[in-house]
Amino acid sequence: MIMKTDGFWKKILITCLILVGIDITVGLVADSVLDIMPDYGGQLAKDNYRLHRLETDVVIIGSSRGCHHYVTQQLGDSLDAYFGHHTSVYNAAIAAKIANSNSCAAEAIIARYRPKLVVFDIGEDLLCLDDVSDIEFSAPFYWKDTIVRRYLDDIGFRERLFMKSSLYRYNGKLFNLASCFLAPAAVDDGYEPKFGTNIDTTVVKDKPKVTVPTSELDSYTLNNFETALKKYSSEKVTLVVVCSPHFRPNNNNKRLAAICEKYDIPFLDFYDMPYFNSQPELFYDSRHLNDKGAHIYTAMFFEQLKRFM
Amino acid sequence: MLFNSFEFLIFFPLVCLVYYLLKNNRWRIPFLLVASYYFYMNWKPVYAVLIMTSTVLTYYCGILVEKYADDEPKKKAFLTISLVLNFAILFVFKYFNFINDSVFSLLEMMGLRWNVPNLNILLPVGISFYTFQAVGYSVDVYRGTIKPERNFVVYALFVSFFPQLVAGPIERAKNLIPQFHEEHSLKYEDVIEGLKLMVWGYFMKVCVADMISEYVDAVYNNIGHHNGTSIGLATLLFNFQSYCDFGGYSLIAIGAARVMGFRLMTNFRRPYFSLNIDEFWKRWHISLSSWFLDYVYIPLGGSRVKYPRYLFNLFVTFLICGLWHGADWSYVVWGGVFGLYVVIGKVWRKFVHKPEYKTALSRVLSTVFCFALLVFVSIFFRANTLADAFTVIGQIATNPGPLFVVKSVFVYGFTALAILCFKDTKDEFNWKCNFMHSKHVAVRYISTVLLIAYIILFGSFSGGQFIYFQF
Repeated sequence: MIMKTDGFWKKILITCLILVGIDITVGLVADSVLDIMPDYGGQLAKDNYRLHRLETDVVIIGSSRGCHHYVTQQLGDSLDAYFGHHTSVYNAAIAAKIANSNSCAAEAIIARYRPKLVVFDIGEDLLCLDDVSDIEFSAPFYWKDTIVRRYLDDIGFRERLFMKSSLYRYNGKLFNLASCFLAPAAVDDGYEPKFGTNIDTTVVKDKPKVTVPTSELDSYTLNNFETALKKYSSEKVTLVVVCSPHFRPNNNNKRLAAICEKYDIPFLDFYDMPYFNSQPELFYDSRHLNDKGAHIYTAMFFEQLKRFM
Repeated sequence: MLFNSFEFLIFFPLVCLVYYLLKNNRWRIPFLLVASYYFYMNWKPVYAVLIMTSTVLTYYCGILVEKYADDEPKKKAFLTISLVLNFAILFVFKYFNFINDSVFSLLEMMGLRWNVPNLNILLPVGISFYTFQAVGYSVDVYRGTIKPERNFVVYALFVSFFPQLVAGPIERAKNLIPQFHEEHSLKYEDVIEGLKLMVWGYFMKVCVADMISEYVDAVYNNIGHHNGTSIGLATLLFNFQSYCDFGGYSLIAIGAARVMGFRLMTNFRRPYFSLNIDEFWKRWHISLSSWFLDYVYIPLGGSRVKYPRYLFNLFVTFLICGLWHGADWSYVVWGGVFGLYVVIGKVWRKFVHKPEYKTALSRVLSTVFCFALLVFVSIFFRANTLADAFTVIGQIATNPGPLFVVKSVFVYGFTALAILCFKDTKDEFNWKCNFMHSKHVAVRYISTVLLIAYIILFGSFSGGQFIYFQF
């Protein structure tokens, strides 16, 4: 190999060393900010809270459908009346955090304390997605949390390697980190209401019901979900898997029901409820109930929940 | 294999290492050929057959064209065979379904039936690029601009060289083939310059294009849910997205080739500083526009014909250019609008007023006007269908409203866009402030490392496809 080096390797080494220095510095600063992050104010704060600090009697986990569908205050009041004493409830569902992130949260919760009840809002469609971006969102907690670390390491070699870089762990998250300190205090214990409706009722009423073909369940997502169920089953902590109403259901939850049955976990399927999918005014969009729909659904859900308490 | 994939992060250094470890071109060229085919076959291995077919065809036709150099009919026949078969492959894989659907719709309107079924095939990645490169070679050999390449391995590498195989720059044989015959020793300047180009290319792709695309896609894929203000902003941003996506890809390709000692042609030169549409096409996708100039516009007669015919030649060239970009009427309209822009510009300058851009204000106004024209025409490029494009125009014109905001995109995307605008402005006006090319060592190191850190910290690594791959 003929080469006019001009100190080539030395220069590459210096560049790498500066990069490592920046990586370590960013990691140290961002990690220390993470430690003093408030419990509310954006998704990263909520994720941190549910993974590391949450200790309520009842916890709801799920994606956007979870955080828009369960009215925490209403559910808490119903539980108070039912039990005759105060029952704390927190809606720990986060928008766009789908199956893997929620399986991880479910495991983190049970590893830290024993809640009276955990509600896991999920649909079978989410078990088919091979999307790991939701669990990658928890990357800042990689070194802090062994469960998060296991989830991220299990994605594959690339992720295991990249997670060693602080810059990569905080990729796209500095804004989330900063916004935690700027956001107003959270109200209503995690419930995030949606108001009004975006559904054009004149159009949807004429639309025929469609059924999309069932996809394969994603092995990584399925494995994480089953691990979480197995833990709740063996620890004897009550976990209820729920699929909340959808305005235009286009599939079913047969495989999800079978998985829950396998681990003796109760499954409540509200996915295709004529009461809801005949009333577009209860929905913000085809996947999410609005505040009015959420109140009706929470009451209906509570009636069904009594069976497991 | 995508340039922004983990696989490429492993593949590229390995290829460079082995390339430089190999003693001379006797081994290096076959090795690069194997590496290039491996690179391509990562998508759909069977489509490598198409490149090989195109390669074999143009290779032998080139030799035969030279053999019958004195026999014009035979020479022409072999060129025709090369062109027809290459374009036939392109037609079947890219345009058949489009033409079939169009004929079906046309005959249906006339009350006639057309029962030819569509082909159930995927568009082979980069087919338009390597076909044009191979066709350009055939024409150059026919014209006597170059001698045909006798070494099949070198020629096969020319058609399939991995940095520019799937999305250009569309190289000319006279520039690239001689470089495959040269021995490239590992030169510090080449490696560093190549790496710097790649880093800036990655910045353009993952920090600007992929970040902005989240907003553009969110709006354009749900036009009915967005008002004219949001659609207008998405259209504006799409122009930066497409520039950074394709410009970024080109820079990575040029940089990757440069690391191995090869110099590919410049493909983008700050296109949004153009004063008029003519100039824009001298700055945007330069390898394609010069290809159309040499192999379509000039054979049509170019400017050495009567004035109306000259304008017609320009218009037709842009129409074909639009069709090259995609098998859809929206691309044809896109090309047609560009053709009209250019034709109107020519007529205006000849009969009404020829701007001289003497003052700074006139240059700024011309740049802004030209950019506004580009934003308008980009609607046809980005809209999912031609009908959508007209809906978009209607929405922008008649339905203002509150802006749809995606905070993370606005924060990260706009910051990256500001950095890009600063860099392009600096380069355009030759400001004497260099960062990655500063004469001060510390500035060079720190700016390069900070840019890499910025890419890792703020880039979008969701594996966004390159827009031009679909062509």
